[in-house]
This record gives sequence, C-alpha cells and structure tokens, in this order.
Amino acid sequence: MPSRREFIQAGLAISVTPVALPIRESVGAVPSIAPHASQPLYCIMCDTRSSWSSAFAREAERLGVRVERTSGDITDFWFNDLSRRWKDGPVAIGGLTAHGPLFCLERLGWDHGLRVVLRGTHRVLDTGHVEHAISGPSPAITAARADLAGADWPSHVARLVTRCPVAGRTTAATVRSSQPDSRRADVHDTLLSWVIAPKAAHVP
Amino acid sequence: MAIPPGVSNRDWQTALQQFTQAVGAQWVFTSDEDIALYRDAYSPLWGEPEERLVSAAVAPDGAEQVSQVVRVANRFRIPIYPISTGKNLGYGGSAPNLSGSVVIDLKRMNRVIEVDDKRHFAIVEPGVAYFDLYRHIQERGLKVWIDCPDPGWGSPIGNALDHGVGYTFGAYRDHFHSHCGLEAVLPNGDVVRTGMGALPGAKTWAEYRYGFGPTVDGLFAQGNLGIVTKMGFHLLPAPEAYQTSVVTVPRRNDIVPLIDIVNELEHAGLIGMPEYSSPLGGFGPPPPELAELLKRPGGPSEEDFDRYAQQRNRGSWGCRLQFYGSPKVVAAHLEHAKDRFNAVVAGATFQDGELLRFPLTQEQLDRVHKVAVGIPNMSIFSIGARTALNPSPSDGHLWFSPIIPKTGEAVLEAQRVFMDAFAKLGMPSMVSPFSMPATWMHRAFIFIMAFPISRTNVAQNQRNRAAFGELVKVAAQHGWGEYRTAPAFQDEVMAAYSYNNNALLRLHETIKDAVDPNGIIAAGRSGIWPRHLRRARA
Repeated sequence: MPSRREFIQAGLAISVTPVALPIRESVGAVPSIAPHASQPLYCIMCDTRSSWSSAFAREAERLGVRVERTSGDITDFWFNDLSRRWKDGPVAIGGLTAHGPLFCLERLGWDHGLRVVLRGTHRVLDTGHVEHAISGPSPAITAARADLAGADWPSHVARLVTRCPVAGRTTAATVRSSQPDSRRADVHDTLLSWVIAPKAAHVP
Repeated sequence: MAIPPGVSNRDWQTALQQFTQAVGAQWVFTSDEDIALYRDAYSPLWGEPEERLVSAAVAPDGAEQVSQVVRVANRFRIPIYPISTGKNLGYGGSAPNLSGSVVIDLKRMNRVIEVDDKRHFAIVEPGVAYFDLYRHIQERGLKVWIDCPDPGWGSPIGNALDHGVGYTFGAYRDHFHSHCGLEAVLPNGDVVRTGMGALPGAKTWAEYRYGFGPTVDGLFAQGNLGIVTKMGFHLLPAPEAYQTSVVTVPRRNDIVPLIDIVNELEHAGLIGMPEYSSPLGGFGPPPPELAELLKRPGGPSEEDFDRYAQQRNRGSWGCRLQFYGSPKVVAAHLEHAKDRFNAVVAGATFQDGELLRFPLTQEQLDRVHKVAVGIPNMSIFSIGARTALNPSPSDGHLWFSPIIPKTGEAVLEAQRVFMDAFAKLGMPSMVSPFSMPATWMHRAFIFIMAFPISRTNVAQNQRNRAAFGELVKVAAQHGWGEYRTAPAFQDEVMAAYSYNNNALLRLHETIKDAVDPNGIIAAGRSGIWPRHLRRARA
C-alpha cells in the first residue's frame, strides 16, 4: 500500500515538473547579526544519507561538538531533545543536511526566537564539480572561501559552522571545486550547511 | 514597513502603539525580517505582485489580549488575519487573503487546558501543536489517542478550523467534526463560548456540542467571524491492539464491491482509515507493455486491464484495512471483514499484518505508520531528497482537493474526467487509470493532486494556476467541489458553490456584514469579503 510519502512522490513525479515538499532555499542573504563571539553550538546535525555530511560530522566531533544523526526525519531529535532545550532558552545548532531537516528546524526555530545566520548550498554540477554558495558572517565566509575549492570541503564546512563567528556584516560567496568529486554518486540531494542561532544576536 | 490598505499612517502608528500596550513591545513585529516569516512558503504567487504579504504581526498571550487587539483593530479598521501555528502548507501557510493584513499570531497561546481520559476529551488553545498535546498525554500516561495530520507540527485548532483531517478512526479523522465547543473573540472584542460553554460553570463543554439553540460553531471554520481562542476535542480511547490486513481483488470492476464493502465496514465502526491503491499502477512511469496498453485509442478495455493483471499474477485493486481494539475485537472484526469480501468478490485475497499490542516496542514504532496509531511526526519532510521518482525537486506544492463520492463508479469517472482535462490542457496527467483517492474524510473521498510550486519559475506557476482554475471548473461541472484551498483560489472555489445564484455566499456575506461591519477579520477568507472590499472586487 502506498504511504502518504509515496503518494506525494508519485503525484509530483508525474506532474509537470517533479517537485518535493520542502522549499529549496536559494542562498539568499542571511540577516545581519550583532557583533559578539561565536555561538557555542548545542549540537550539529549529520545527514547519514550523504558521505559528505558524515565527513562533516567526523570533523565536528573531532572539534568537540555533539553530533545528532538523521536520515532525513528530525522527529526524534525534535520531540525528545531540541524542543525541550529550546523551551529553556534558545541555543544555536548547525548542520550539513539535505533540505528537509533545515526546512523544518528553521521554521521551528523561528517560534523560539532563532534565525538562520549562515546558509550554504553545496550542489553537484553536471561536470561533477561541486558548487558552494554560502551566505553568512563576512570574516568567516571570506576566510573559508579558498578552502571550499578542495576535496576536503566538508571538513572545512565543519570548521566554518562550528566556529561561526557572529559579526555585524554578512556576505555571500560562490566557490566551485577545482576537481570533480568522485563521491558525488551518493548525493541524494543538494546539501545545505547552516547555523541557526538566537535572534537576540541580531541587529535591532 | 507596509501599511494596511485603507489605513492612514497616523491611525496605523496609533494602532501599533495600542497593540504594544495590549501585548508588550516584544510581541509586535514590524521589521521586514520578522514579517517575512509569515510568507506562504508554498505560495503559488511567490515573488509576483499579487503574492499575499502581511504588514505586521501581533502575538497575544490569551483571550483577553486577543480581545484588546481586536478592539484596537476594529477601532482603526485594520484588517487582521489570525493564525495558530501557521503550518498550513499546501493550503496557504500563514499568509492572508488580503495583502497588508496584520497577522494575529496565536503561538504563545499554547496551553493544554484539560485532558480527560475517562470521558475522552481535551480542551486546548490555538498555539498548542499536535506534538504538545501528544507529549502532555504521554507524560501523564493518559489512556487516550490524538488523531493527527501528517506532518504533526500543526495545531489541532488550526487544522480543525481549516477542515483538516487525520489517519485513525472514523469521525476522529475529521478534525472539525471531532471538536466540541469553542471560545471565540468576535470582531467587536466580545468573547463568546459555544455549545455548553455558554452556560457559566458548565461541566460538559467538550462533551455535548450543541448546548441549546442554533449551532454556530461551523461559522468559525474556514470563516472570518472571529478568532478562536479555545476549543474542545473528542479523543479516541487508547486501544489495546492494532492490526492491518491488505485485501486485494482481481478484476478492474471489482473496485465497485471493494469500496462498497469497505464503506460498510468503516461506517459501522469496524475499521479505521482504509487506504486504497492499485497493484498495477505503482508509482513512477509505467512499464513498456502497460505504457503501450495505455496509448490505445480510447484507452484499454476492462478485459485488457484484467488480462494484464492476470498475466502478472497481480490484483487490480487493493485496500489496507486497519483494525483497532482489544485483540479479541480486532480478530473478530478481521474475520468478519474477510467473510464479507469472500462472500461478494471471487478471488479476493488477504495479507494480514502483525497484531501489535500497545505500548509498542521501539522496533515496532520504527516501522509502524505513526499517524495511524496517533503519533505525530515530521518524517514526510524527508522526501525532499532526490530519488528516481523525484529527480529534481523544486519548491513546494499546491493541493487540488476535490471531494467525490465513496463509490467505485465515482473513482473511475474521476480518473477519466481528470485525465481528459489534463489532455485538453496539454499537460502531463497527474491522474492515471490506477489513481485512487485519499480517504482521510470519513464519508467522502478526496481525489487529491499536488501542483508543483517554484520560487524561480514564474511562468510555470502561472501555467499551473491556470490549470488549477480549469480543474476547479471541470470538477464543478461533475458535481465535485474542493474542500479546502489556498487563498489564491478561494474566490474561484467559492464561486463553484453557486446553487441558487450563489445563495450560500450571499448568506455568508449577510452574516459577515452583521457581525463584522468593518470587515476586519480575515477579509476574503473562503471568498467571503467584507462589504467595502466586495464592491471593489465586483
């Protein structure tokens, strides 16, 4: 029997243009945020469907950040962990995931006074190169630009996310990998890197 | 900062001050960044001048604050648009019908007021999400189930007020039907309670829905006469056990007795939500032989379909039956269901699922369809990933949801009608000869389809909006109307409900003018516009 998920997949697959439920965010500018030190992350989220995200998580773990793993469904993390934590007060989280987890967590974060302060899309081009388009705090983005062109970009994204300095100015950058990535076959979706941080840090 | 239509800058500034006095400065939102959060994430008008946008948002913390805010809005004739959790994706999200409206965001009103597991009801505020109510019940070990939609981050009140639906048992799935009593703030700021709630000190507000005199609750569902601030719901007593069985019938025409018998079982309260499908019409492109068959002029005959099914040793139609109750009751109902099918449909087969006893183990929880056992979740959002079926996912969807009768004949007719409609539109069909309806409604089917939405391809959105409008007309010509739709289509859908020169809409407008003479609440909701905007639109 079809589940609702299969039903939607099927309905959309035969529609004019295939489509998914979550919005596919463009790398629009994120809001400017007030100058203060980097947010200690409550945890980062790893999308286990992607080897890139797993590499990202390994580096984050090495840096001492707790890792939450998902195969796309955030329910357990939300219901048993984050919703309780955010009730006590907003704390920052980060991740490198497919679109669904960010779509949900961003909207849930809005209700608890949090906003996305760093957002990147990591998209495989037809050539096999990976295009990184990131918007966020200027110093971090500027510093990370060069590193993203290499094959080990997930580790660099982990360092960018976990040490995301929160500064007053934001900027956007697009970087293309220098070599095609052999791991592209396991990519289920465009990946997004993100930091969701308390709104209190925003410039009024 | 945008100013609501028809409001002077001076009045607007004064109103903002008074909103602030009512709820506190931190709960009045006017920055571009904050009000952007109220855009409909799946808007079919995304980025176009007609996109419905808000001017500000105000978040009260209780019925008294709602009343104060409404009085201010009424004084300055400021259009307001209430939302609960704002998660009505596919049907409009949190965006209003009238651009420039002020959203009344009720998320702070998130108190579970009462849950009774002896009399099986709950009373909640609009900011309570299904997750919250579920947690409240679980933490207290209460012996009741909620019936939730998929995903579960929405509000029982918001969902019920938009005629939302769920997955478990009978009338509980129809969330407005399962409500019992409500409290609402009227456009003049008055607070009214319906049903038994009108009796001070009533002991049965969430149990006996009528109270005394005419019932008015329905006017607040898909309506614009007030802001609902509390609502009661009947809850399902927690069953001991759950089991599924998939019945498969061999021939194409067996769809008629299949649905007849399932109706009989469901309307007698013996099964929960049935889920239909066709073993022939799996998802994705049809295999080559079937594709050839479907290309035949006039389409395949019943015999063609039956031969195709027989050659593959597959049935033509299936239905997953869901049984709830004690193990003895489940077994008896399952046996009875099999008897009924075996007596009527030659060759019916059954595939029984495991009998699950509650509470479930973690392993059982991981594989059960959670909403079928009253557990809210977000797993549906994990389908955004690329798959063979969904190779280049885009930006959202718009539900087209016509209601059709619960008969096999109606399903086959809907297939034909909508396939023809797509052919005439020159679009790939969202419907196939194997498409089956959604069964969330207790007494009718929804022949639901999802139109894709793009945030970058305006031309595609425009084409799909035109197609959507055409399907509304085609459906109406066949006696089918949509049960729910996004603001962009509410005028069109209401126009289809045109019996006796739109007598229903005229009645709604008469009531609207009497109860909300300044037309402040949810102008245009369900196509019901206040007088001053109605004239402009005529």
